[in-house]
Amino acid sequence: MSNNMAKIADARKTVEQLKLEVNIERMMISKAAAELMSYCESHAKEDPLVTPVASSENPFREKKLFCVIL
Amino acid sequence: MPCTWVMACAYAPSGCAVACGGLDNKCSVYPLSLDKNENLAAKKKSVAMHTNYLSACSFTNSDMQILTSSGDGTCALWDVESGQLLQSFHGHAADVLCLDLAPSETGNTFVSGGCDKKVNVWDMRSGQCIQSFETHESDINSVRYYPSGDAFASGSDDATCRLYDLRADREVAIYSKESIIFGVSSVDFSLSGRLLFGGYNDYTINVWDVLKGTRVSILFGHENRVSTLRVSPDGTAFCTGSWDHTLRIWA
Repeated sequence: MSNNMAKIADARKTVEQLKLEVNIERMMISKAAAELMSYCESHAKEDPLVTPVASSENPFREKKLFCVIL
Repeated sequence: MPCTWVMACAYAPSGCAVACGGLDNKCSVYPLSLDKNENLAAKKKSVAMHTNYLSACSFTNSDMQILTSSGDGTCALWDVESGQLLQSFHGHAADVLCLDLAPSETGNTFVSGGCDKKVNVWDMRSGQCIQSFETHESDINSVRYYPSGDAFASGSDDATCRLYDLRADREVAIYSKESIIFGVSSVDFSLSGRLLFGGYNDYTINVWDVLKGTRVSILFGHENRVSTLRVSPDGTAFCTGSWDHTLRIWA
């Protein structure tokens, strides 16, 4: 019996939560997706993993032979 | 560390302290010091107390507050100095496995993912769950905000990563392939948000093009499952940690 009561209480909480969520403002996905895309495009140049950095500045480049002082 | 498994750790924004926790149900903050003679364990401050394991922790914008998520199904915001509980977040029906804070300076929301297949977005000040997404088919192991803060990605045991837009309030992309059957343990975005890196339990890392929804490449190297993945703050490389006892940096 108490299990049923717990389930009912849970369901009530879910309903309350859903009622709150119904009223939030939603943006049109076409606009939201376009904004995500434009964010990507605009920051692509700063992203070293998207636009490769010049070899001289890349800290992870293949190390060329160093001069070894014998 | 006093407990057997450390499951979460985080750097303080100033770099002067580290928070960690795990099966001991607590989150402890250790101040860092370059002095080798100092007994760091003595300076430990126990900040959070949950009734089950600590799955993730993160400092908020300051060193003074910590956000934690736990196997007891709740997330909580704590004051580091006093150890006081400032806000608790109830709403998950099962263990909460991961959390991530919104990137903006004024941000006061965070997202959490749990074993109940739901991702919840919370308002830190009121404790209210403002949005909820339930499209994954299994436990959600990792959530990460998109760099602009308007979207987030999640990785789950159902072998998919999904992108959700917060303003449109819906899932916008699924990153999956029939050939990928192992769960995702950890996800992170590149600096511009164009690439999504996922660490998988089949020992590989898959790199996805966020906008096209296709896989850009697959990286091999680990000899056991990849358990965690993070892109460096300057975006030049990312690091993966694995059950094969190694951390690898990929550039």
